[in-house]
Amino acid sequence: MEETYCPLCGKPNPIDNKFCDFCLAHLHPQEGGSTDSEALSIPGIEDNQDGLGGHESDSNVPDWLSELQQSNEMENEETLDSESELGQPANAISDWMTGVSGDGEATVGEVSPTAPFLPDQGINESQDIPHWLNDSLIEEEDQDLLEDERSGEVPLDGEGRDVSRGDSSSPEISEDISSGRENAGPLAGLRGVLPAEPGAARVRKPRTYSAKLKVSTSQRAHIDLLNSLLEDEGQPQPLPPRRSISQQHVLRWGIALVLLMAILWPIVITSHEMPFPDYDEGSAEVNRLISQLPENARVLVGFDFEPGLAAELDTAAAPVFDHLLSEGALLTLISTSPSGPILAERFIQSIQSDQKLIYGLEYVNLGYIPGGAVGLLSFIENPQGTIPFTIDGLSAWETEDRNGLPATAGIDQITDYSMVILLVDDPDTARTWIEQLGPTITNPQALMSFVLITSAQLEPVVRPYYESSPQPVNGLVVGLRGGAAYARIIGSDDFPGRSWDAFGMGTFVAALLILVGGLGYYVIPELSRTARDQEKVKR
Amino acid sequence: MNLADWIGAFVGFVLTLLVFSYLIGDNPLFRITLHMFIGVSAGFAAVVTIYNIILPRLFVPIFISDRSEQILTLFPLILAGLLFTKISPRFAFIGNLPMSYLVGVSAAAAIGGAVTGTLIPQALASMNLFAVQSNQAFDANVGLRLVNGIIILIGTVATLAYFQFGKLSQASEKTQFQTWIDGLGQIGQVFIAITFGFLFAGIFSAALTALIGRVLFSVDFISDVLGLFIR
Repeated sequence: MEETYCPLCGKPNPIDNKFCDFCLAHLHPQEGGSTDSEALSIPGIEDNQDGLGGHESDSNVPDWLSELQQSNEMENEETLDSESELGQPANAISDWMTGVSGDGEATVGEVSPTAPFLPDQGINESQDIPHWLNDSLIEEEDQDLLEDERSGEVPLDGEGRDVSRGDSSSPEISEDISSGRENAGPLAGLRGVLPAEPGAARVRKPRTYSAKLKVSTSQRAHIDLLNSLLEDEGQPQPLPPRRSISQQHVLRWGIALVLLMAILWPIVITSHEMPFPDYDEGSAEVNRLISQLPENARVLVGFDFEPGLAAELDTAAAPVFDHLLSEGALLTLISTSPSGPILAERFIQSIQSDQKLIYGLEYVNLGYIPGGAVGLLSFIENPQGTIPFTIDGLSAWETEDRNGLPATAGIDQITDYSMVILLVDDPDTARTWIEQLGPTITNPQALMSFVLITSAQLEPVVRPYYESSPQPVNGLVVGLRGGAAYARIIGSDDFPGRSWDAFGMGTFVAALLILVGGLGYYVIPELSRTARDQEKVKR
Repeated sequence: MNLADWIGAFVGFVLTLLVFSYLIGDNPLFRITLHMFIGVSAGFAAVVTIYNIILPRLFVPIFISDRSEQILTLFPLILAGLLFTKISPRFAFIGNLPMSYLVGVSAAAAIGGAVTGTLIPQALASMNLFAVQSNQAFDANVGLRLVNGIIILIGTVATLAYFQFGKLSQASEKTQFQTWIDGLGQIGQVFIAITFGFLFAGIFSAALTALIGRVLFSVDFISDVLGLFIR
């Protein structure tokens, strides 16, 4: 059996029902409002009729029901004209109803069917129905809905006006609508009856809205401004004309010229007027550690700097390696940078004039460790497994089945080295080495020291490691100054005095330029402002 | 010097002059030098990697090693080959396996190193400055060490306070806590300024040394050339 659902309470009902069995709401949208035929379709009423024996029991049937039965027998009454639907005349109301609504003359023995729905004293239109209820019974939307639904049936006057909307020609209709009088069903003729279904359940035509935007004058102005901005963005703007020689150019050339002159002067004159630094704690510590190395000590040297800073690191490292090689140390060169191995070879070649090093016997180049921190950690934990060959493909380590190189003989693990020296210019690389090697260095059982030869720009990063306790870095030679201090400590005359003189003069001139520039930056605007104030006072 | 040295020195001298041409502004000569440097660096790194890593560590063991080493070498070889699938968007997901392995191992090594090599040792070292009894065993200048420790403590706290960003209770009125933080932050600014000055001095010193190196090289080359003609 097919079912339909009540739009009000949502409960299922037979498809034939027009009203809900539970809440008596309309199951289908009203077509032409409540009609007499609809009233007859109420199942309960039909059952009653059957039970009463139809027309044979007319005497027991109320007047209003008999009228409805009569109207049901009328043919083709489905379409209700406006007069019969809205303007049901007052005399169409059954006698029992008029009796109730009129003067209340119903006797005690004659029980009215509408008695349970009515107050004892009856309905007084003007007094008992609240004003808000009276006004809201028929709202404006309801009137519109009625007009829409009954379009074509609503009588129009000669000028096309709807006579049901307050026309004087049909006062009964307008009165019923405006007063909210029920015009069908058992409550027909009563006013102020609440509808059995809410307005939301009724089908109505949706409101239509205009698709055009309402734009005010100020909004239009903003739109125009935004459009102009967007259009300007898409158009290439001509570059401002570049002046061939600007004030910036002159300043740049001036500073460069002054610095070059300051550097060139001691180089050309070759007058060693800049004294070497007296003492540097880090360099002195490196010197002490190297001096304590045993004979033929194995030293691992990491070359982790870029070619751009080779001048600084080569100069700083030269006296350290002079001392190291004079102690008979055997070097193992390695790098975590691809350019490191060739820089290592270049450095060894540069010191060959003083130290005749034999490859494989006194030094060996293991080349490049890939993988950054991981590769370095692997090398620290297992040197032979990580780098088994030298840069030229020779077997680097001595094993059971292979003869290694003398420079690496006796090395099985990283702690077999007496010292690790790192030449570095990058903070991250330096930190990686310190972090991976630090736990091994700080181990009291490891008789190994770790020394850094760094660029001057790295000193703020590595000095805390050197000055902390326990020390992951045991010695520190920083830049040209550290190299010069080391050369002075070991009494070497090979340190390039020209570089040190040029460095001293260049630093002095740079400090002077900074001082003069800073003073000029603050003093010149102040002087010009004072001059302007004086001119104003004179005026 | 032999001929190769002369050619090398001449090329170096010319490239140095081209780099110095940046003084007159950005120009094609400077850009050519820059591109040459980048190209040579990349090429050199590739050659080093191939001849120092890939060939001896990845391919040679497959042919000349024993069976166990051959099998072990297959793993990095396969993983390295899977990395090439990253070229194709369709098969790039296969390369996620070696990539995840690389990233995981690298992160573990870096974090482990940072914690055990920097974070904990540096924190302990800062605290050890105030361990007077242990300092006395090594250093007679306990007072100086204490002063040093106090300065480091104040600098650390003040610098951290400078980077403390809080919300004012009211726009026009500061709380007492906020006033204290602001005062510490101003002290922290002084420490930060000193640090930046130290960093600038170091960078300038390194750059000046590099410049001196190039000037020395140029002067030596010119004097050598002039020496040739004067002879």
